[in-house]
Amino acid sequence: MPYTMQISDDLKAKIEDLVITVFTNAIDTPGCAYAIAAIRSLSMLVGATTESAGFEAMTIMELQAIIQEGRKVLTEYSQEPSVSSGCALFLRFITRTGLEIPDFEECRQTLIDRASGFVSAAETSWRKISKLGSAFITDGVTVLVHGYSRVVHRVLHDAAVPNSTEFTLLVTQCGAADAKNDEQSAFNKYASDLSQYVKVKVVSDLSIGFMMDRVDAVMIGAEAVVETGGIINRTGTYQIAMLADRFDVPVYVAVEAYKFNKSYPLRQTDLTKLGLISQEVDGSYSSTSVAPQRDYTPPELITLLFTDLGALTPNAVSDELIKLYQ
Amino acid sequence: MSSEWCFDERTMKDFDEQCIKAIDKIRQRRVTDTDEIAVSTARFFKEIIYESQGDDIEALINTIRHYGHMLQQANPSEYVIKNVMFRVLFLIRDQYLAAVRGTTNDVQYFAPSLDTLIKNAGQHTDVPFNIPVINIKKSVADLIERPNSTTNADEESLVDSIQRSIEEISASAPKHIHPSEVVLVHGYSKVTIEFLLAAADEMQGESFEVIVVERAPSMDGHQTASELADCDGITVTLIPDSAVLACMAKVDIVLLEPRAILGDGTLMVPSGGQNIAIAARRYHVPVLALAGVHRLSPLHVCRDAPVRQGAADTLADASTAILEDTIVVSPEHDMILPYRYKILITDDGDHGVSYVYRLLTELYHHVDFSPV
Repeated sequence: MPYTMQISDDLKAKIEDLVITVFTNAIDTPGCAYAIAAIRSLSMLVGATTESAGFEAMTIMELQAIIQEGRKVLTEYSQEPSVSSGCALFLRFITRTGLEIPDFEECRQTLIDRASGFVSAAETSWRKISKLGSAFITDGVTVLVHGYSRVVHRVLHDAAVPNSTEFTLLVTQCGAADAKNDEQSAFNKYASDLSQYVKVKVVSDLSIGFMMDRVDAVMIGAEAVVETGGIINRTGTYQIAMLADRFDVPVYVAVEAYKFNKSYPLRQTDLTKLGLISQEVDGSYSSTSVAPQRDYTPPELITLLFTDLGALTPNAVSDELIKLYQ
Repeated sequence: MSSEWCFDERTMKDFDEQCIKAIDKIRQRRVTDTDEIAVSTARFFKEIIYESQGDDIEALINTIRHYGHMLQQANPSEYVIKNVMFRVLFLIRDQYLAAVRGTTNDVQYFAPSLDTLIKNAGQHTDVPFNIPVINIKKSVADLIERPNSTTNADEESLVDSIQRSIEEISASAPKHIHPSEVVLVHGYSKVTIEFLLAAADEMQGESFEVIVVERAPSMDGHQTASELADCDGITVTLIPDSAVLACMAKVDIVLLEPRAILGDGTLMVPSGGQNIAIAARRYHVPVLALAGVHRLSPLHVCRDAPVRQGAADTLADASTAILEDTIVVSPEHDMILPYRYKILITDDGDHGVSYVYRLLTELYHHVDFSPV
C-alpha cells in the first residue's frame, strides 16, 4: 500500500473552497464545458500549492494528494460524468509530467502552462470534430438529433454554413412540454441559428418510430463515452438508437475525447451503481415512478464516434482507454 | 519557406502528363484489376521519389499527395489508389523517424491519444521534418519496390506484398474449407478461385461443392465455373442471381472478394454481393471476405455516397430500343455493412471484423486521413 499523504481537515476545507469557487465561476461563463471548468479548477489548485498561497506541496506525491482531494470535491459537487473523466485525465497528466520532469518547480509550472493551453484549445477540438462529422452530412439527407449538444450544434452549423449543405434537421422534443415555444428547448437552440439555412422540424418524442424510416442519419452528443464503446446521454438516446438500428440508420456520436470514462456498464441498472444516475430515479423496487436523466446506449447500436482523436469505431474506444492507463 | 513541390517546372509537367495518361487508362476501363492499379500507382510514386529534387521532405509529401488526389479522380470508387498513397506517406514518415532516432537530434513527436490530450493540446501532431537527415529516399523507394526483387523475409516491399497477396491468402484455405462442404462464390474473383483450388489441393481424394452465382449482367461467373470445373476435388454448380436465396439453405460458407474495405469494416463488393450477404445472414451462413491488406482503406463512406455505374456495354444485350426510352441504372458496387460478415482473410492473417481499426493503425498514419 503506497504512502498516502494525510490531508488535514483545515486543508480540506481550503481546497474545497477554492475548487468550488473556481468551478462555479467557470461554469457561469457562457460556452464553458463542465470538464473544462473542472480542469481549470484543478489547475488553479496546482497554482495555489505554493507557500504564499497557503497550502504548500513540495513533492509530486503531496501535489497528487491535494489534487485527489480536489477531484473528490468536484465529483461530489457535480454529478456530471464528464467532470469525473476530465479529473481522471488531469491526474494522469500530473503523474506523467512528474515522471518526465524531475525538478518539482519546473514540473509545477509546466502543469499550469499546459493545462491552460488545454483549456484554451477547447475550440480546436470542436473544430476537428466538426470537420469529421460535417463530411457525413450530404445534400438532401434528413438528420435526427436528440437533446442539445454544443458539439453537435457545431457539426450541424459547419455542414450548413461553410459547406452549404442542404439537409433537413429533425429535433426531438426531448421531454419539453412545448418545444416550439420554449426558448430553452433543444429545438429553439438549434432553430435560432440554423433555420435560416436548413429546414428544422420538431418531432414529438413518441413519434420517433413513426419518422425513423425517413431518417438518413442520427447525430447525437454524449455526456460520457464508456469503456465498452457505448455512451451515456440524455434519456431517450437508447430508444432512438434501437429504432435506428431496426431501420439500418447510422448513429453518429460527436464527442470530445476527454469524456472517455473508464467505467464498464453492461445494463441500464449499472448506471446507478456507477454513480452516473441517482438512486431515486432509476426505477428501483420501492419507487413508483421511473424518470432517469440519462441512459446507456450500447456499442453495437453506434456506428461511428467523431472525436478529436479521429473517427473511431466503438471498439477502438477501449483501446484508447487502455493506452491511457498503461 | 521551402518550395511547394519537390520538382522543377519541367519535371512537374512530365509527371502531370504521366498522371493524365494513367487517369485515362483507368477512366476508359483499359485497366480494371484492382491489384494491377495498386502496383502501377505504387510504381508511379516510387518514380516521383526517385526523380524528386532537394531534401525537403514536406515538399515531397505535398507532391505525392497532389498526384494521389489527381489519380483518385480517375475512379473515386477505386480506394486502393489512396491506400497506396497513404502507405507511401507512412513509409516516408517511418523512415524519417528511424533515421532521426538515435541521433543527437531525436525528434519529439506525439501521436494524439488520451494521454497526450492535455499535454499537447493545440500542438501540431505531424512529424516535424525540420531536422535534416541523410537521404531517406533510397530506403523508401526500396520499401516500395526492391530493384532486383530479391525476397527478403524481413521487409517485404509494398509491390511484392500486393503481388503475393493472393498466394498468402490462399495459404489459409485448408483451415476454412473442408470436405463435403458447400461453398458459395459470386461471379469472377481471382483470389477466390485460387483459394478454392488451394483447398482442393489439400484434400487428397475428397471433394467439396462450389455454387457459383453467375453475376448478371456481366455473367463473369461463367468463367469461374469453367476454371473450377477442371479441378478434380471440386463439383461446380452455376446458378443465376435470382436463385441465391433459394439455394442458401444448403450453403455452408460464403466467400466474397471486396474491392475495398472501409474504415469501419464495410465491404465494397461488386453489385449483387449485398443480396448474398443478407441471404447468408438469414440462414446463419458465415460470410468470409478475402482481401489483401492493401485494400484496407482508412476512409469512411456515408450511406448515400454517389454510386458508380458499371461498364455501359454490360447491359448491351437488352434491346437498344428499350434502352432509348428508359433510364438504365446499373451500379458497379454494393456496400456490405460490418455486421453482415464474419472474418476478413488477409495476407496478414485472419481477423475478425472488429479488428479492422487496429490493422489500420499499423498500416497508415492518422495525419494523412484525419484532420486531427
